[in-house]
Amino acid sequence: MAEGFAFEGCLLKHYIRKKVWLPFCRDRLKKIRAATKKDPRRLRYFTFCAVGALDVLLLDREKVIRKSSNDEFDTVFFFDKSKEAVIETQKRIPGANGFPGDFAEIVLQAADGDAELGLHILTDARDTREVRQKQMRKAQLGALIESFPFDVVNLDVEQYLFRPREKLPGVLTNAMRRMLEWQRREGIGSNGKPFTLDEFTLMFTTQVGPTGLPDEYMSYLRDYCLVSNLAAHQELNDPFLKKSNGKNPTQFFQDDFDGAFKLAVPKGLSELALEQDWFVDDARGIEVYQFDRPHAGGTYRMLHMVMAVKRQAPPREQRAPGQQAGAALGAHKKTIIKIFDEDVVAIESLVAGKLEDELKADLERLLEHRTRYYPPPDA
Amino acid sequence: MPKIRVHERALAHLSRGLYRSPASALRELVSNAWDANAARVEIDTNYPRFFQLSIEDNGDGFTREEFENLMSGGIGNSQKRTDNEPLKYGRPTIGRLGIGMLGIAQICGSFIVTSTPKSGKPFKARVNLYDLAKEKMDEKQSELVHDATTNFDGEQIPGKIVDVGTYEFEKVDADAPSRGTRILVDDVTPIFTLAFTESLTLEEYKPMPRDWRQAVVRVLNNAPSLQILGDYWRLLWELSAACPIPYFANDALPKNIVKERNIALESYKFGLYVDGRQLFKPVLLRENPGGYTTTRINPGPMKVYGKNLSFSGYIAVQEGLQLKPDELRGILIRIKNVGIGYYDQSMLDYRFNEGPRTRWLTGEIYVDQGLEDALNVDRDSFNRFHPEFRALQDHIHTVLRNEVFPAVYKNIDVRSKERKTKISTKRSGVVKSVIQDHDDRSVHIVRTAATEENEEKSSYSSAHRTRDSIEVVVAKEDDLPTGKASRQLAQAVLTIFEVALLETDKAAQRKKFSELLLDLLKRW
Repeated sequence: MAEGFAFEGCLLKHYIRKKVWLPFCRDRLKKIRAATKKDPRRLRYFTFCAVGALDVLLLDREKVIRKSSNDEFDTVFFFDKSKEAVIETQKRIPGANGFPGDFAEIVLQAADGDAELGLHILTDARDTREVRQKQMRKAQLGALIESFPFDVVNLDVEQYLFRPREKLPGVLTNAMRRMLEWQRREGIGSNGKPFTLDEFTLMFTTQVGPTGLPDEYMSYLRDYCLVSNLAAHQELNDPFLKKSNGKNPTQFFQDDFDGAFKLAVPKGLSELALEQDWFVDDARGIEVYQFDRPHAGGTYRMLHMVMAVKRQAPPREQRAPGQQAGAALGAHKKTIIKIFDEDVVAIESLVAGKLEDELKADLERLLEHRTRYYPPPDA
Repeated sequence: MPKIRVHERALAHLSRGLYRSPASALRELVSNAWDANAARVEIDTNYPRFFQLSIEDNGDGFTREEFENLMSGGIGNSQKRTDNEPLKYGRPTIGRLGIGMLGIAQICGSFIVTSTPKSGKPFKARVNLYDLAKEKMDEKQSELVHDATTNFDGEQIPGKIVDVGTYEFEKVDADAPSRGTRILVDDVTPIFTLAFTESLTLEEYKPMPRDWRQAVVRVLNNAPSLQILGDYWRLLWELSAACPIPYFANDALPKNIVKERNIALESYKFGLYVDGRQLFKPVLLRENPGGYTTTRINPGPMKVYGKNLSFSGYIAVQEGLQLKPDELRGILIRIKNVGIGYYDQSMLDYRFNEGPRTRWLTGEIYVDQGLEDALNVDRDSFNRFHPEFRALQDHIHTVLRNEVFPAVYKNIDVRSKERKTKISTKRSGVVKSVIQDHDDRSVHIVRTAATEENEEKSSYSSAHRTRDSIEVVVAKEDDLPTGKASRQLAQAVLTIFEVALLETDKAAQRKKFSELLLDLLKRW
């Protein structure tokens, strides 16, 4: 059978799982339970799993994700890095809904119109590979859209948010737009009752970079994500200048790409939420964590962002065109001030001594827990 | 002398439509894994979405060169594995029953093969089968048909080869199996996905427990048929029934009738997993109130037209109770431990009408030698006029006619008598309790035999009441001049009639009799 997943033993990543994601998810579950006291529904989780489904298994061990009466992870939906990885992941979280296609490619088909989603026998088209593949992509899209909304969306994509060869703003950003749109859908909970979300938890992971982004991307990050806001909201200027050591956005991007990226991306996420009729809850804002991961091709920096996202009230349909809800705008501003005010948490310095031992022991327990569903073939 | 030939196109059609169900195609790949010394085969269906399908084993794998030979040599041209190199754990070699790897073409247009051989480098290749190949093959000047020569015992025989697809090697990535072969079908036909996803929404569909034994006990043994459970259940059931895997336990069937066979199957150390569940043969016959009749089949080796035929097995009858699901009824023939087709409910065309009793019967025949030539092209059935099949059929029918069904009828008689005695005892008590419930006195019923004296009277029953008791004298059942089936009831009615007559006036008698009669019939 296939070899184990890479990076499984990374304690820094486990810190993120245990100390960042888990508390956010627990909080989310508490809110679901409070809202559905009489007939509670189970938490719905969307993830880019990878790494042997450890995020799901941690939430399972901690009883945040509850399996069906049939012992299946039926409220877990995931994409993985390859078709083979989907197989391996499904062994570890049986009954979870695994999508073997390319996430962004599938999601962005929605732009072509959703008229013929789902599978059915075609009348005129011939049974060729091209036709079949198109049908299957549509079927995956249909199944994916139907599965929305989710209480927790974990976009642990572990790749660059921006890829120079893609047209602005990049396929991932556009795919996220769609997802935020589908998060507004009415879903059917595990209790069989329809529900819509007032809020959900968004976890987003990306690599910092790449360096040498083309000018159009740099100006998108700089002008759309920073300059326009600074111009529109004077109160953001001071926190920004403090963060950039008095430099203007252009200089800041030139001199400190890493620092500027870490401001622009979370801020861009907050903007995206606002655009799709959501907003980031300013109570905790966007928490940003980072660690460096050594790699054969050179060390790269991972950026983990976590936030609670709330639905704007009144919703878009009840507002004047182009207007945002007042409370949402206020929270958005506060979130951005927080991003400018607060430092990114570099977790390398935290994961040491007693905490390191604790995480190590916990990770071992988690790997042991995983064998409950999929004992190693040679055991 | 002119030669008679089979057209190459007819044979080429087989590459795209040989099996009846996905399970039959997968059974072929599981058999390959067995012959490759794998200890474990994992089939993943991407449940509950069914967008892809994979089958992976940890066997000996094969090299890029072996793969190329297999692909370019023509489907069905590969030689059966020779017995020169015995398999691990004393497994008998299954060999090629169908068309091997390409059987999966039944449900897809392309697939990826990744193999890490015992020795040598791993490889990964995508196999693309031509779209609309059947149509293209049938064209007069088909571009798929080529001249070719085959070397047979040193003689070059001219012939033709039909192309059915192409393959290309890909970069082997970190996901390659550490040992063995993986076939990943990422181009499953939409109908496969459609059928399987729909099957999960059927009204009668039951969620499948993670544990296969629970699935068999809780659902399968209670389901009238697999059809109502849908394609997903059917796939797992068919695979578990057909593949060379053990039973749940040595005593999965009554009287340890599969014990030796199960010990052998377990000794082969071959595990089949589907979506994480380890499968065992889906037969678990226990706890039938009427018990089971079992018959061993072991005729010893036979010769049929100079060829060896040897088989053994069992027939089990679940007395008085229809087997569930329906698909378990009948007789399944296995060649080298691999099930061919399904349980045959006609019991190999058994000619006698045994009525509903045939629904109580299940059996398996393990053919260890012979019968392969009798396989039909679908690999799921037999040529019924093949001499080896005929020999096996004759033996099974003789056993059914002379041993199995006579024993079943005998048991029916025994059970019938037991049941009647039980009912009779119960009903005797009913009369007494009905009378007692309407009167506080104790009740004594005396059943007397007919004598010359009382036969002269029109009736010789009577009743007497004292302060503490009622005594009723009635004729014995066998002496009552009614039909046999109603004698006990007649006796009971006479008894309560006598009790009613003890009342002082006609109105009271009528009332008492009505009450007692209605109560009696209610409890009868």
